[in-house]
Amino acid sequence: MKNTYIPITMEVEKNYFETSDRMIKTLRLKFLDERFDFEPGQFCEFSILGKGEAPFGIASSPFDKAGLEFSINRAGVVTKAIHELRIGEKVGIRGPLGNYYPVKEMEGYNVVVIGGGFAFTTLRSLIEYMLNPERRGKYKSIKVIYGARNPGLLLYKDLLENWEKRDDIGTYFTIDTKVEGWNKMVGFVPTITEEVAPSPENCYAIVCGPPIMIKFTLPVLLKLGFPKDKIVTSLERRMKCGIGKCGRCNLGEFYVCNDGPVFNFEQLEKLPKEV
Amino acid sequence: MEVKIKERLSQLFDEQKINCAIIFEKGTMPDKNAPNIIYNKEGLNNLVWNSMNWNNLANYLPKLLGKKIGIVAKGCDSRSIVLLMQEEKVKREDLYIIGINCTGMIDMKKIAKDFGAEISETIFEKDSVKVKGKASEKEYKVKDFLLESCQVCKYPSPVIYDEVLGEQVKGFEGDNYQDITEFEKLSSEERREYFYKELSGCIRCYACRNSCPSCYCQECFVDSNQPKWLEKGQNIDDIFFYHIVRAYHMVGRCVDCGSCQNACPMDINILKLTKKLNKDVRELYKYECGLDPKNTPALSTFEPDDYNEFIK
Amino acid sequence: MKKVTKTEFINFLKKQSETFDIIAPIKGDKGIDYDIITDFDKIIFDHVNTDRSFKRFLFPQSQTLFEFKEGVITEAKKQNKKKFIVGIRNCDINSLKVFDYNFIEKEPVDTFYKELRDNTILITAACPASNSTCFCTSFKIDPLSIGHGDIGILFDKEEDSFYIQGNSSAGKDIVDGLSTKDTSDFDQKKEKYKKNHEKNRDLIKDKNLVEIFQSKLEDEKWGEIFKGCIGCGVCTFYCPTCYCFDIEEQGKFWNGKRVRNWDSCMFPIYSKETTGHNPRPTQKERYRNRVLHKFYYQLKHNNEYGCVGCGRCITNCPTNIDIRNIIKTFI
Repeated sequence: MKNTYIPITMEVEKNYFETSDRMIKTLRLKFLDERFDFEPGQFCEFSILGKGEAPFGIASSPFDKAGLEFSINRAGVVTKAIHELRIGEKVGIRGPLGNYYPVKEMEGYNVVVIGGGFAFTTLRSLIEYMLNPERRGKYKSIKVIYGARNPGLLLYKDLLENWEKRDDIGTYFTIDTKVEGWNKMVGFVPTITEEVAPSPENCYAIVCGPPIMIKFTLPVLLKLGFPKDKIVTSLERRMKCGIGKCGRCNLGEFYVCNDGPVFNFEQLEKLPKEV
Repeated sequence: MEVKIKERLSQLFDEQKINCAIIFEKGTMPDKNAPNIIYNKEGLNNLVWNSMNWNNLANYLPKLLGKKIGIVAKGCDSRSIVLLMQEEKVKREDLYIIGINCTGMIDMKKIAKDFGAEISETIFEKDSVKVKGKASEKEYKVKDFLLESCQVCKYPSPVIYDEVLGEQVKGFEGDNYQDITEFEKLSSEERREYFYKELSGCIRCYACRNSCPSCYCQECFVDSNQPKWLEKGQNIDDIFFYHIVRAYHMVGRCVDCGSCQNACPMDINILKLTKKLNKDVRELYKYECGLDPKNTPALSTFEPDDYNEFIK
Repeated sequence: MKKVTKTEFINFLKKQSETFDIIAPIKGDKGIDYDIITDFDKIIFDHVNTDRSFKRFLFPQSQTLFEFKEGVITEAKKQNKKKFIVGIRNCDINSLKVFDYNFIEKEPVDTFYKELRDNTILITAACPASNSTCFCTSFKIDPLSIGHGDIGILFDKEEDSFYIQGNSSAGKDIVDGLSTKDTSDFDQKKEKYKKNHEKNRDLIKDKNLVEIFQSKLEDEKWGEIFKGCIGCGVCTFYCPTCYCFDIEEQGKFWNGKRVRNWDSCMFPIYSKETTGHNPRPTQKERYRNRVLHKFYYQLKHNNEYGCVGCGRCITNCPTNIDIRNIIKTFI
């Protein structure tokens, strides 16, 4: 029987700073001998031998079969080591872990994706998945509301530009306060959501962002009439094993690693307030 | 004693001089009492004072910073209060200290061993305890079964208080570090062997750290991973390292209350380490901690004309 | 079922020690606890329960998950000697329902636990008496049962004899070789010990804890019940059903191992995130989580309580936090 704690080996193919504050790096890893498929919203345990392991959502599209991309904020021991990785170095990956966005249930629905800051990684995976020619026909309108403190802190700028040019996705990019050279929206995500969100009828809202953004966006969506089970988010928690064994990441009755990280607000409402 | 403490705390709640109090409640088991923080005088119903109140109540003070606190303090508790005042973890004006002249706390684990059967009831008299089991009954003198730290306690009476209850008690007059002097005579191999054997039982539950009033760090060095000082497994060297470093963090800050050892579920003799350092501080710095709030702790002072070369 | 004398039973264990490490309760400095047996005459059979449960033999406090050298991962060396654990009380054996669910039944299988579990023969023993801190009957556990584990025994001190019964196929095979005396007085003996369990209280009395706790997640009593809790790990480390662990890297850089260690939800660092944010910032939330995990979350998902009523958290808590009172508070 297989030791589930041993990661597969992948190779760093690309790495670059994603944001102007140089706190977030995107890494592209190439599958070597072993590979796996995944769904949008799943995560991996990223392992640097001798430093440790940490969980990160997969940022690339499930249709991108040759490798995986992660955008990682430099914070602790493991993320610091990840930032120091060079091209060609080997890393360990365990995955795919956790559940994923309800991409099947969302078929036939309108979708509004609401993101803030660097919590946009698995949302990007989701959007790319939905925009893939194989999948696009399954969803009605797709809208993306994405905000950051300033333009430099938005992730995946090239991709955002591409989306703007397409006519099968509506884009609303915003920054907190006006800066020179920015010709898109200005204002906080909850405010923009109130202005541009689609009708709640037949619509899923996928929300990911810093706790403060979630806190103020949720009431807006409820006010607009979104049902709680159609408001979906992805959570983070201090996590160790990633496979529902170690007990570390429980949020009420759920293990975020196994039962999540994707939950709807109807589920979250019934848990102790421990986010 | 119990009645007096209740009466006074009740008055203090009424006069709004305090908005919480740290007390002992009657435990759910015959051999334990429970420290508790109460916020109104209804909480005084279960208050108890007897010889099972070994926990150092000053341990709860740093978490209550900013509140007006009534605290029942034995000699050792009061010394911890002094230390916490020196280290600015509590303000004197926030405290109302009901000092208790302490006659020493009883080692219930030792009594349980001697008694041999499950204890179903304990009845405390002035200086003895009647222990009842299903089929037997035995009376123990408290002074014959004192906790290790209480046996050699020099300061059973509070060193700081607003009022004091109980008759004046005479402290231990002999050398309270006699056992350490004996231990020092062993060779370094023997001492090492002793500690390895003793600490091999440690399960790293950190009850010793968490029951210690001087251990109030927001992040303990064992929990830090930047830098990571030690590994968390059951390697005896890591365990040893934890206990030694914790003891070193206690230099000149340990009041010999013994609550680390009393809290230990594995009965490890932790006092050997802390007492050795306390003895050194007394010899090298002529300092005993937790006696006078105006003093600065031994390792927090510096004088330009110190006779030691290394410090200049 | 068979009945053997004490000498016969000891000889039986000695014979097993050729293939197994025999682990059984003996008297140590502190109290009665499990250890690997070298002197078979020192085994104790008539105690109420051991100081610690046998959990550490199936789920060691510290366990290497894999080793690595120069970036190459290798499986950790394993000790393959099979174990034979004697004298497990009915409360403790029930903790395996929690462990088996978490580590085996719920995908993916944890190979470390499974291997130890598969290579251990468990001998449960009817409990001769209950302590005042025992409340296993709350969880429908019969302290006198000999029907759990691979083999079940009842030790009758009066006659110095053992009733022994194979439960699993492995257990039956082992017991098969024993000769036996008349066992028809077994029920009578069992009945005799029943009166020693009067102290064992049923605290739950068929109440539906899932429903009760579902409506009390934010009850104000959570702010009181943890009382003088100092946030040490005694209750969790002594608990036979607590299985949470931490994973850490040991060794230096490229040469070392990845290890799992027991962890405790009572420690602040347990849930503290790298950013410094802690979703369970005070002992109130931590204690609530511990209680709910035992009496609500696990019950809802696995239909088993995360508590077996052994009472160890009560006897060992340095501040006398009593889980029985907490159950009573809410039901």
